[in-house]
Amino acid sequence: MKKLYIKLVVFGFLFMVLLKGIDTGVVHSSSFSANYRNFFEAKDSYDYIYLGNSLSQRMFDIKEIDSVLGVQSINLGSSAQHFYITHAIFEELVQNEALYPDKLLMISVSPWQFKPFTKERLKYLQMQAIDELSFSANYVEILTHFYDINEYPKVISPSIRFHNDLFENINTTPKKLKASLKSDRKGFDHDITKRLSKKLRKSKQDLKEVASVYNASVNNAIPESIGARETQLLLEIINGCKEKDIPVLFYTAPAINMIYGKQDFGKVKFLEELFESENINYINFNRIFNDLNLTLDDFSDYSHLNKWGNKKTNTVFFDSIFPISKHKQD
Amino acid sequence: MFFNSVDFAVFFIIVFTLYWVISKNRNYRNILILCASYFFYGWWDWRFLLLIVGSSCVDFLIGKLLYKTTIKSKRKRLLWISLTVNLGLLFYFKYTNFFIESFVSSFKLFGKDLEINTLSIILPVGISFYTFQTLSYTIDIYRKQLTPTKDVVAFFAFVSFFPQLVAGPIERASKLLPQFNTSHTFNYGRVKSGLLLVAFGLFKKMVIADRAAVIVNEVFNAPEEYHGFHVVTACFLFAFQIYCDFSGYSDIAIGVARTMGFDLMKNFDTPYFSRSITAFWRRWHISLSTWFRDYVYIPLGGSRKGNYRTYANLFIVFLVSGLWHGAAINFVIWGAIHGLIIVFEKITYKKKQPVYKRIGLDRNTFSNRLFFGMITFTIVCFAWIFFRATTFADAMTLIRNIFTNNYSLLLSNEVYELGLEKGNVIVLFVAIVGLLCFEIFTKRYSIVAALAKQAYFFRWSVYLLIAFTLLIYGYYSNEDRSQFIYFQF
Repeated sequence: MKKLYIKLVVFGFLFMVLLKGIDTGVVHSSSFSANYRNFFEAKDSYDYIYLGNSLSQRMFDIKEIDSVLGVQSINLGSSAQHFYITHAIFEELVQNEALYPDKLLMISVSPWQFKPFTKERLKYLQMQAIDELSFSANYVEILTHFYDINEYPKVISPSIRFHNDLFENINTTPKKLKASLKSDRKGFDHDITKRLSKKLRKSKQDLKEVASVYNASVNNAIPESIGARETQLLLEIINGCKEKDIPVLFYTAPAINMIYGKQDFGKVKFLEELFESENINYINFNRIFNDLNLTLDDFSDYSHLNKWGNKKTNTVFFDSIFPISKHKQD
Repeated sequence: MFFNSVDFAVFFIIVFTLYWVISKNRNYRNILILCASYFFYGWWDWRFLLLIVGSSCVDFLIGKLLYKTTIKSKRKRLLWISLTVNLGLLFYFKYTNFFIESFVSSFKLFGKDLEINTLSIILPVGISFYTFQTLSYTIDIYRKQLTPTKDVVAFFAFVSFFPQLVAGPIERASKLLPQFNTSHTFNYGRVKSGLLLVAFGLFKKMVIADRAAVIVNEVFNAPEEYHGFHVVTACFLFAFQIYCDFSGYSDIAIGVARTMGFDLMKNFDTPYFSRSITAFWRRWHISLSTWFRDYVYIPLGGSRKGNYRTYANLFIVFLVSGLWHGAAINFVIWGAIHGLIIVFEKITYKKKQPVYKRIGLDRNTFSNRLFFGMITFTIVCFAWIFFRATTFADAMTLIRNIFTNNYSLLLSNEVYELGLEKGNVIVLFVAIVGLLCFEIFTKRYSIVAALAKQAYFFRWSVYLLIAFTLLIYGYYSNEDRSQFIYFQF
């Protein structure tokens, strides 16, 4: 009996060592992971740090911003990232003062980030971010919140994560990873050079008109809470930034779905009121949708901007965001 | 609590440790097994425990009374009480709605619409398995082939023994019950071979069966949508899904029992290498086939009452076997197909031999073994359509759709559009080929014995490879797909 247990312990230890080796060395191909590690291992801080879901990743052309303004940015967004994870990443960030952004912390918020997941795929997409989080109360909370105990094996390591449909293993080949790192478009399914398909365009021909009444619709909406726990986490980030004197800007990226998504207007209103009451900078880009002259040509799907859309949003960055970004030492 | 879940892993580690640590006294160990088994069963729904306790009580008492009395009529009455209670429960939970529906639809044929609603009944997990196990106890005592046990705990533990409680193997009291009256000693070699068998079962279930289920479900849930090669692919994969699902379960059950000192019977013996349907049934779900042979076929007269009666008995056994699997016409048809072919094989068996001789056909050459093996496998796959299809109409649609010619798609990437990406399809087919090679190899050699002779480094590398394969390529999910197919029976 003793022999069995000793051997099992040794086996378990060997297994964990090998797993860790595979985790860090072989399978690790997700571009989010590469970015995340670069960021937390870096000695120098970045000027701009982006947090949030894929909308955050696709909001601006960071490469262009960096080259034009001579700044350094990093994007820690990941596809379908839930706000619980955004909060956990923020918590890791605030623990190390050297990592605070020199100019601005940019956090994207949209009503979708606060909703519980209904699709397996969305749960699956959280794993690449969960992999990188260090073990903490937040980590355990996220694990127990999103997954059943029987799903833990596939969550706890990236080498296991791919088992489910080997999706990223196939789609994030080293070649693609290199390309995605180069363009700072982290691990997307949607091609940034793609334009909205003819089929998708058909039902959204009235985009300009719908966008023109968006402001009134949100103004007239009754505020609807994003959830008690979610509000608490958002306030924790806001207060964390205030306490640590981290310059922060919250923003909601423009998305066709949000312009048409009447069911979320109340939540948008709630967010706007919350940021206003907390005296925090917030831009809802959907409110200036027509001012930006965004059209169906600027999107690769109903949610994500493409490179032509980025040309338009980057102007907002240059004209409005950059001037309000102040240096840490200023 | 499924064998392929973290819940079960935790449960098993606790029970295994307590079993070997708590005491060497077999009574205490039997109490532990009983409590653990009831906990395991109650995990689904504690109300089901009442059924298993009730069934155990009835058969324990009837077993004792049967042994005491020598009066033939009284013994018969007691046997009938046991049969009525056990089969009555099975009938009520499993077949009531089936017969109500059949009754209503038969009236519909004559233009009469009866307004009888089906009942809202939940089928208790594993009822078909433990009912047959307890019945074998009573029948064996009735036949004076078995002495009833006086140890009530041992008997209750025998009926509810958790490794084989919900999906077999269906054990005979004469084989399993004495093992509860034996003091098992810890044997490292047995535990190790048991754990390896568990790992092999998990591989079959999590790497092959659950992966194949994606394509199978896609096609069988939308039979109108798929044709030709899609249907053929789904049928072929279902054959491996059900085999790996069920034999994987049996391997885990046998492995878990072995780690605790118990020997359960072999339930599968490379059935897809069979060269006839008769041989297939000697190698598929052996515990059920032998149960039907001993408790249905032989009491019906077996082969003792002439050829026609033998054929009829065989056919009846397969019809009942079909109905045992599920209360639906599809299962009856599935059983009937197998029954008819077995009867056909029985009729032609003697007549075939001279013909083979005359044309110089040797069934044992590799090419002929392959030929007959493929014919048998094709028939089995065809019959599985009825087994897997949701309704009879769906089965007929799928059969019709097989003949739509879209086989040119074989050369395209269409197979990757059935729910699994290319990587997963490759993993699936490599795993199936690997399994078949492994089974051919294990027919001739004992892998465990061969592995034991290897150097430490090699053995541990193999163990680590198995663990990593399960973790990286296994499915871990709460979805329905992860449930064992035979749990529903």
